[in-house]
Amino acid sequence: MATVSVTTATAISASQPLALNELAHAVGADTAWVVQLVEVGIVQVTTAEAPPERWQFSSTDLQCALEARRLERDFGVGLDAAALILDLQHEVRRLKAVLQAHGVR
Amino acid sequence: VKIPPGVHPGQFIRLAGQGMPGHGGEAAGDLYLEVRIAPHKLYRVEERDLYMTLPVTPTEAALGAQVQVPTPGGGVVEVTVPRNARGGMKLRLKGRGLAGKTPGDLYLLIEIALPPADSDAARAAYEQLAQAASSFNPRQHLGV
Repeated sequence: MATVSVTTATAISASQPLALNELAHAVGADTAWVVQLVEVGIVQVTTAEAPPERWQFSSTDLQCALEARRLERDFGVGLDAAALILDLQHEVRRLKAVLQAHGVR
Repeated sequence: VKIPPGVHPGQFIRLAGQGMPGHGGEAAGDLYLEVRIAPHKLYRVEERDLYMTLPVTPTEAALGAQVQVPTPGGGVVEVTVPRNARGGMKLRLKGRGLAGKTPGDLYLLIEIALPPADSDAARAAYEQLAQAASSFNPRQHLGV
């Protein structure tokens, strides 16, 4: 018989954001790398004037950080180029979602 | 895993301590699940809003009507199709989209479904309509 263990599932949201070290840990990077992501605009910090240890990150930030990490690792692109690629990629996804919502395949 | 209510596509769910084991006595990492919503036969998702195509007959579109619409919560609501509704028109049901702190809306995209002219009565009705609306030219903008 399979063993089922119960664990706590938390949706990353505005009320339960990730801290700087948690985001860095989740993407296998150090906090300095995440600070660079903020500097090039790949992730947005609403509390940018606060010290980095008080920054808060959303699910979207985690997704962007993971994609930037993948671009850097797989294609060796710099973070400036990654920011541009991610911008274009998100715009394509957004437009596809709008088309799909309106019933256009 | 119990999915928390109100999650949306692209959001991550964190399962504390369910990731890779830690080294040298360190705590295990967390497991992150990215939410994707499987295609639904009726509803399409755009951020927190849902879209559904609502077929109506030409008479319902022209004269207006009350039609029943299934909602994602499982219930049925009665929706007023306004007079002279056109194909592609959007009707908004506020707060009937994805749940959350600010729930999304449910949009109904009007699609005119033509009854087939497959009987004498239906053909006669279409001919009567053609006569009554003889001045209507849907190709006017083509200059012909």
